[in-house]
Amino acid sequence: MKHLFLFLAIFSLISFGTHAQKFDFGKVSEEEIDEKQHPLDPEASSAVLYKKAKTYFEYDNQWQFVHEVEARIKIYNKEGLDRATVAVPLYRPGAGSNEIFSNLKAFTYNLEGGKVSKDKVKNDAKFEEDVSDRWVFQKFTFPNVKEGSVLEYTYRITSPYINSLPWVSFQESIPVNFVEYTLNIPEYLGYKSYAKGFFPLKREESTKLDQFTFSYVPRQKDGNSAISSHKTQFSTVRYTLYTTVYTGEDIPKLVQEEYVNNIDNYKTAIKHELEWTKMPNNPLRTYSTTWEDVTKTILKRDRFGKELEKERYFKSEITPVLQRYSSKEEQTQAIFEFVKNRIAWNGFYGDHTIDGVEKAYKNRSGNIAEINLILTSMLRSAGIDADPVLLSTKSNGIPLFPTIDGFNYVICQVELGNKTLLLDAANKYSSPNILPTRALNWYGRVVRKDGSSEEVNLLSSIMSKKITNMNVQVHENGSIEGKLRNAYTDQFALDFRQQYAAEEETKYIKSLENKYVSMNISDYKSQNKTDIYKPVVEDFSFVKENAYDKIGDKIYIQPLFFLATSKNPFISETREYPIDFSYPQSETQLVNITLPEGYQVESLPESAILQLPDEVGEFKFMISENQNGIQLSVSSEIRATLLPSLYYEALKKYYAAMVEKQTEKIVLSKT
Amino acid sequence: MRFAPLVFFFFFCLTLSGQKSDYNSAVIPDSLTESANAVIRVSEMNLDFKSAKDLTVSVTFVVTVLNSSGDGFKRENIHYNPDIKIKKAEIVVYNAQGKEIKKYKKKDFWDRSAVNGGTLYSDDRELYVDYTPVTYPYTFETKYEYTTPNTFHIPNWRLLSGYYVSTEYSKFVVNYNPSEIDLIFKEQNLENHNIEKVISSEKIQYKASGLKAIPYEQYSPYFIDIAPFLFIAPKNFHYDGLYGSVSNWNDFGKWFYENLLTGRDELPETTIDHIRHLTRDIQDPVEKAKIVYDYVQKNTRYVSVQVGIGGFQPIKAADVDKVKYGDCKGLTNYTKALLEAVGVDSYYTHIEAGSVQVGFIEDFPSIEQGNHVILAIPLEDDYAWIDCTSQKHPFGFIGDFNDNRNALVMKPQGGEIVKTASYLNEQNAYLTNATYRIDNDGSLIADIDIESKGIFYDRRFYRAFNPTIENIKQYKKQWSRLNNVVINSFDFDNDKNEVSFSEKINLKTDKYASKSGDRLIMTINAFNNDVIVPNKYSERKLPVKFRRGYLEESHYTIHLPEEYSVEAIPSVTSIETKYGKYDVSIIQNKDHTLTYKRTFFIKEGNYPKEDYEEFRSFLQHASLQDNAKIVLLKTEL
Repeated sequence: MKHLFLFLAIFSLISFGTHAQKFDFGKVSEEEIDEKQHPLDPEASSAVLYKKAKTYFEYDNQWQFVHEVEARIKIYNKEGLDRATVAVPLYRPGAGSNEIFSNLKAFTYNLEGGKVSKDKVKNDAKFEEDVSDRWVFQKFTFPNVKEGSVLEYTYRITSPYINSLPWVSFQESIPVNFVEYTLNIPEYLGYKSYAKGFFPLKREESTKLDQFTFSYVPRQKDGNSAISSHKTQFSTVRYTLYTTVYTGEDIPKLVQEEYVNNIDNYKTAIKHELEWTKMPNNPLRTYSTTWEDVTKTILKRDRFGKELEKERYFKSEITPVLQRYSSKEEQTQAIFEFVKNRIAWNGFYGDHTIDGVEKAYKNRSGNIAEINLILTSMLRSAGIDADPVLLSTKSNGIPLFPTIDGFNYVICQVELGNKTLLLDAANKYSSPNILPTRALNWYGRVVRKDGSSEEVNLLSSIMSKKITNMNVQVHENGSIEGKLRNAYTDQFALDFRQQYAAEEETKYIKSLENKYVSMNISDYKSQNKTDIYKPVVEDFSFVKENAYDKIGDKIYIQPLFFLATSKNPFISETREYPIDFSYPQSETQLVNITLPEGYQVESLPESAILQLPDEVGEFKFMISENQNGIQLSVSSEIRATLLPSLYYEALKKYYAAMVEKQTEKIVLSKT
Repeated sequence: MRFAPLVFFFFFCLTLSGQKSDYNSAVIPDSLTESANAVIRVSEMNLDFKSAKDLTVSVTFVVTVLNSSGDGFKRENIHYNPDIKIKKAEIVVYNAQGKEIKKYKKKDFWDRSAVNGGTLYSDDRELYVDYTPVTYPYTFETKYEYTTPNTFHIPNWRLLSGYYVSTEYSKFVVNYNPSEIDLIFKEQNLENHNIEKVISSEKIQYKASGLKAIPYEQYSPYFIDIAPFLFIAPKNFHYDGLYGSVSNWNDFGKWFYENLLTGRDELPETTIDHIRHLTRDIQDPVEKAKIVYDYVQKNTRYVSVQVGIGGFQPIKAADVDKVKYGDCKGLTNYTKALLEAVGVDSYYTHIEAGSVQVGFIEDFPSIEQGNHVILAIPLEDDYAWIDCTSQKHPFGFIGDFNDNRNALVMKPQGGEIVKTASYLNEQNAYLTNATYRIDNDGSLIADIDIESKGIFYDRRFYRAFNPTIENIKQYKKQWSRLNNVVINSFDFDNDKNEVSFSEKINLKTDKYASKSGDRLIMTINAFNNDVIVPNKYSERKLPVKFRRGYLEESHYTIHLPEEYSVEAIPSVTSIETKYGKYDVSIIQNKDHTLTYKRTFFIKEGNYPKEDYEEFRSFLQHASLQDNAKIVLLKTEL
């Protein structure tokens, strides 16, 4: 992808100056409390004056990491008050493997009568909420917070999950003046760092010799007397400590924009993943560092690879289905539809099974991994070349680097001769290569039986179409009547089916009548609403009152009538992040207008073609008059899926011109 | 409890004799599936009062869900708190043929905190399951039973669960020992339903069947006002060690005041001195109250923590004073204490807040009414109402969250039902004064002044606190019909004394008037044309209600482009109906300008369903007139 550069953070050599002063916990200055607005962002409701995070390791029979966070927050106005409550998520699957929250210290600082006052967050302001059976929110809230207050807190998380260290954000929805992240890694562990976002960070590395003392109980050896070996032993070890310090200064707030796939993709942040371990007297052990490693690890998991090998639970039911078809194409489709009807999606994503494929199959409900792994193994059992594809949904963000946590979704890829099909059986209306929008996110990885893997482009290259044919008779009394046909293909058809296929037809017609205001619809017919292998087609006749303007003795018609795009979706003046259209799309309207008796065309809008740079989009407006009336052909095509923000100006103008063209009037006068 | 075994036995009889039903979805009569996303097959609730301190509630709730929009009607969660002991919980799912396909026993339920969005912490919890429907229809049967020593707050009987859901069979039984407890109950909208009642000195039993689904219709009364209910409340109750006996709101308020409010209003001397110091030069109690409210708004914030008795009792004023945060109860009680310190009376007031106006029932005292607390400050013959959870609202202005509804004012001598301040008709004013110029290329540049009062104030004054980027976004949304509008500048004046919000905006948009040959065509009403025509119903079923009412006045001076002259001015027509009026005029002035005036007024009102079409055409008329266009023709040079 040529726009990948947008997502990578830049480590620069620039030296920071303005915040070079030391920040020490508890040393809040009068100036900070007195400050009335943020010097660089006067409208900011609050700001992070500084944040320091530190991760280091401890050994106590096993490695664990300690993550300490320290922050100072300034509240400028009432909108900033919600910063006075903090919630820290902790993973707590059960005793022995829980993350531990400790050492919370938190204070509010105010100026009272010219003096700095300090209020402590006491125990009655700390709460724990069980969000689910595995996750807990540790919450605390500050006392005496008002406009001007400065808040400070520090806490510690101790966690056994050393494979993946927490994301450390350098950017927030409020300005951040200074951030520092210190990572201390003992020589026994190797981590890889990954970064995202736009803002330059500084990185400094250093090493030093250190030592630590640990306690252990020697393992009892066969045949030896057990008496002495039960005693705790202490041992001191010298080792090299590798320190990396990342710093960032004056990072502006992250602003949400429309048509952004996931704003989190653009937030400046850093994360570390375990690459290898090398314990004394132990061989080097490596962890996932390439996509190849990640997929191998996933394939080895009980809840993925092992699940794929199971076949017995469905064999008896799938055999008769397969016997009905001879070609691999037909069998693929039959299995795909069988799985869709057999198992309902329970609403959970997942790159691995939770209940397991057998239970999901029996209960007829499962998560994404269960459904699509069942699909894959059924296809394989029929001798079809099928493999699972791991991916990350839009809401999960783009997986920037090889990590097991990067994926949260599984689909299936089938190779039939030279055809490659992507299948998602968790969506009833999804068809081969037409996936739900949530899955249309960048690249996935197909995982082969031997553990090898390969990138799969998930962005749809198919141009999805919506075509409208309309014949309109204009009556002199202000009403129009006519016939309309809509055809939807591919992603448009999927969207349509997801929204309306299960809806009662009378309800849908009513909603159309209301959408077009005072329209009466009759003879509604639809085709292929549930036959997902064909385009959806709907036909209806309509009558609409007050459908145009009559001023003086002239008639003014909007050429597309109620189908016109009258609002520009892009209203902001500027744009920071790429614009996500989800899939390439074209919309065409072909309209024949019959004039009322005794009227003639006085003027028509001019035909026009508008183009976006680099041929990423085109709008055509073609209008002509013939003896029967007026003919119109309007189309708009967006050929790209994700457009970098530098196209924004052009895109905004393009839509403005489109709206303008579609709202220009045809003028009719009496003959 | 000497009656316990007997009652228990009796209870079991009831459960066992409950319908052993056929949950085949095909047997549901058509009249119940019409307009329904779900059908409540059986809803049985048994309340069993062994005493005022011992209540057992058992529920059987069976719903057939017809399509995915009906999924929300299945009961997957059972709420509880430290006082409620869940004795039984079971869920069984049946397929369309009525065959059992899934069963959850009590041990299969998960358990989690039930803390809703705006709350920091509460000790409410829930048992829940997470069932994914495979096909429709399916039937979901939920049974549970719990006991509680708190009888202050007990469930009512809802015969319909909402719009688009019907009820096949519903039964509500209350068994009580009259020597231990006395109950009051009140029917609402039961007249037109086939209800069987058995009422004796120790039992109340209501049964209903065949209640059709009600589809939602625009501009109709609230569901709660049209739906059938039976409200029930104990006259004598127990609540966390406290006993009460009330038969009217006066008693109730007195009990509440004495047991839950008295003694919670002490403040430290330093705070009293401080607030007295702030008001030292003021005599007028209302002016003093304004200073106190301002102090509270500047120094506290809303944080909701609901633990144990805290569900109804405010935390102590001294505690709020220490941390400067609290929930609606805590902040209201704190403000009340501060007012007391400066010699101003005020009353702690229970209210059902929300944009849906639900008032307290005058002759039916129960704690179950109300979800919010505000403060009433007595004036000569009225009250000034303040909501202490808002850091922004003007003194005495409670917006659409608390307006025009019965609330319970707790005075030391007893409770009183009082209607809160209302904002009606002309009080809700949105006044636009604009001068705009159209250039030869059709572009528009405008100076717009807007003044908002009443409910309009409530909807717009937030802009004074928004960042610029957000305000620009809002203006662009409001005027999204102006293609590519650019907001050049804006300015606000938030007059909290008059409760009036003024905005001055300068904007421009290219090609406002569309070109067609030698003509420019444009909508005259450039800034205030967003009347939405409501849906058409082939057969309107519910009466028509328009809430609050409002007045819009627009006055525009329009400078026409030099190279064009007016070819045609639309013939606009004014209309006056019982629902309101639409007045419009366009005057062509000598100096190449036009004057456009528009008044759109809708009255607050209730009308029979037969009036809906006429009401709709009134709005349609306004919408059409708002889009009237003027045609300009290029002058021959």
